[in-house]
Order: sequence, then structure tokens, then C-alpha cells
Amino acid sequence: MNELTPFVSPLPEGLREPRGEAFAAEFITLLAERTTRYTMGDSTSVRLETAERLAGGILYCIDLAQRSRSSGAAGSLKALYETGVREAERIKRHGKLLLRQAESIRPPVENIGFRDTLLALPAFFRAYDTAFFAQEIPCDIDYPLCHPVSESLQGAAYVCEYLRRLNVETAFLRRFPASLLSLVYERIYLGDGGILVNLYMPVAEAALGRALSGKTARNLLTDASDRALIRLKMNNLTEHAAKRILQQAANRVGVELGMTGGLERAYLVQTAEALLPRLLALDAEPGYRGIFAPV
Amino acid sequence: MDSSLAMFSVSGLEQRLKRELSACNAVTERYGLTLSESSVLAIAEKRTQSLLETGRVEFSESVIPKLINAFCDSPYLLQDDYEETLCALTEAFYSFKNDCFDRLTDDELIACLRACYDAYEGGLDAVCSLTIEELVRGRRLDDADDPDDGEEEDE
Repeated sequence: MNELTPFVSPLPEGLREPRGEAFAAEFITLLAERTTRYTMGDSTSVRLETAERLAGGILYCIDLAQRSRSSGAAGSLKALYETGVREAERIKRHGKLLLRQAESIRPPVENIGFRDTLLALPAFFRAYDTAFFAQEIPCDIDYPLCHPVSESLQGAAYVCEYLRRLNVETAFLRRFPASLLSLVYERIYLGDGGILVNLYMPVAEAALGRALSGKTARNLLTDASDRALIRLKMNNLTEHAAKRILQQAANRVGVELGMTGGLERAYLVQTAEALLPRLLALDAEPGYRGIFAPV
Repeated sequence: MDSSLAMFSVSGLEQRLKRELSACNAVTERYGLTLSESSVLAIAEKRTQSLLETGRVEFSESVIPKLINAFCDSPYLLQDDYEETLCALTEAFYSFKNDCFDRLTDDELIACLRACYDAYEGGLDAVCSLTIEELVRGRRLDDADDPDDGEEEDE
């Protein structure tokens, strides 16, 4: 390997102790072995970018191994790496199940971004390479979630978390008729939901708005008096108290819609909490008209 | 080293390369080719420099012993130019490797280099200035430009 070749990949948790030289030597040996396997012995050298990708894959798998319950922090780097590859395979299998679920529970309304992302995801499972590049996501995921997945997640772990959130959002949307959802999108997005817009957020916020004004969440549309009532409710509250009211509204929506899953409820609470800065900053008219779908 | 894998020293790998190059003398001696200690050092340095310049990395095994084995029986390779030729071939090898986007294996690329080297009667500059397409064609460009020339001469 070249002298002074920089590697910028962060070390996995647990390997941040100053193991220094010993770790470097073990890592280089493992990287050399993986590189030979990658080139199938046909080439003694690889491009720097390829070496960095291979190094990233090794570090990612080591990180996965350390996070998984099955392995302790002990063991050689190679053993940890191999455990990580198996863990990546397991996450991949779990992701396939989540994708199957996503394909079977589509939202009641059509959205091009949503559809294209679901069509692109099978390519991920075909191209995902746990042996060499487990940290990569070899497909385009365009559809934006209400609460994006952290960029710190990589590879199949990212895709799994994305699908998990997507399924939570879809499950919520399926509690409303398509005609009502279309009405919300027309009022908030001034259209049918376009290509790259999130379907969940305006509906969840509309339901929260209804709950905040003391009405049923099943209708989704708020009028001027509802919005004035919400503004009055949020007026002169401390941040903590305002957040508490939003959480209560989310819980009320959850009960009314029969949301039994903890994940779905937590997601809605998170959505409610994210509303706070906008509710405090905007006036009821016309500000809240952009948040709570007007009649 | 803090939270990043910053840099690795490769003195061990260079030592290994020097040993491998010295060991090549046992094979090349019969062709009147040997590498002195200073030549081994120069070639090892050239390799490191070429890898840096071409943005490539090489772990453990080096390609240079393969180059030596492939070229040592060429009638155009003489002791006087041995070190210089190996340095130029090493540089050209990594550059061509990039040019072909790693689609040629080491052995295929070395075979192309050797074919062109012989076709140009040891003209190292001519070989090194070829494009990857010309190299893979594996013969002198003036032959390729007018293939009938040879036939007329035969007649």
C-alpha cells in the first residue's frame, strides 16, 4: 500500500481505544486479503477509491459485529468482520421482509415518488454486496420520509430503517379514505401530491390539528374557528407545556384511530413535536392554513 | 491515530518487495540480468512514486516480479538498461491499468506490454506513449497502418 495513504472512514465504536499499531497491522492484513479476494488474484493493485470502499466495508462490518448481541468486543479483527458480514446478511433478509410488507400495504393514493422508490428497492437487494461493500446503498431512494433516516446508518441497516418508517407512514395513511387524503394534498400541496412530496406529514398534521381543536381526527379538515382555537391554545405557553399539549393531541389521535403499535404512536408523537416551532412562530391566519388542511 | 484511520506506514511491504526483487536475480542471471542493491532500491522507490501518481494502492504482493519474469527473456532487454526499463515499465503498467479501468488482468496487461516491447524492438518510449487501445492491439503502429507492406516485401 502507498505510504501516507489517507483513510477517512471513522473507526467503529469500541475500536477507538488506542490500539494503534497492532490494529493498523491487523487491519491492513485483512484489507489486503479482502482486496485479493475482490480482484480474484487478477490484480496486485487497485484504485485508491476501490481500496477506500473495501476499507469502509470492513469497518462497517466490524461495527455491525460489535453492535450485535451475539458477539462480544473480543476476538480477532477478521472474526469480528466475518460476524459483521453475517449480521449484514441477517439485516438484508429482514429488509426483504419489510419491502414485501411495503409492497403489500400501499397508501390509498398514488404517488410517483413512492411508486418509483418501491420499484427501485428490489435492485438494492440484488446488488447489495455484504462481502465487500456492506456499507453502500446501491439504489436510488427518492421518496422523502416525514422523519428522514439518520445519515449515520449505512447499507442494509439504512434501508431497513427507511422501510420500517415507510410502513409506519403507510399504515397511518390507510386509516383514511383516498378521497379525503386527496383533498388534504390539494389544500396543502396545491395539487395531487406531485412527485417528491411526503404523503404522511400533511395528513398527520391535519389529524393533529383536528385533535388540538377538540374535534374528531377522522375528518382531517379544519376551518378558521378551529385554527383560531389552536392558536389560542398555544398562546403564551412555555415550550415544555406546548410540547405536552402536542403529545396529548398525538395520543388522542392514536386512540381515536385505534393505533395499537407503539412504533406508529411514537412516530406520530415525533411528528407532533416537530410541529411546535411552526405553531409558535405563525399566526392562525394565514399561517396555520399551510399546516392544517383548510376546509 | 484518533477517530480516523489516518495513515499507515508500509516500510514492511517495501522490505518485502526488496527481498522479492533480489530473489528475482536467481531467475534472470541466466539472461545476463541482475539487479544491484541500489537498483532494487531505485525500483522500489519508483513503484511507490508510480502508485501515488496513478492513485493506486498495492497490498502485500507487488507486480514488479511478474514484470521481471515476463520481460527477462526478451532479446531487447540488456543489463545496461535493465533498471531504467523496469522503472519505465512499472510506471507504464500502473498508468495502463487505470486507462483500461482495471478490465485487463495483470497478466493480460503484461502480455500486451511485452508484445509491444518486442514489436518496437525494445523502444521503451514508443511503448509507453501508446494508448491503451494501441497497446492491446499489440503490434507496431506502422505495421497496423499498412498491413500490405509486409506482404509486398515478402514477394
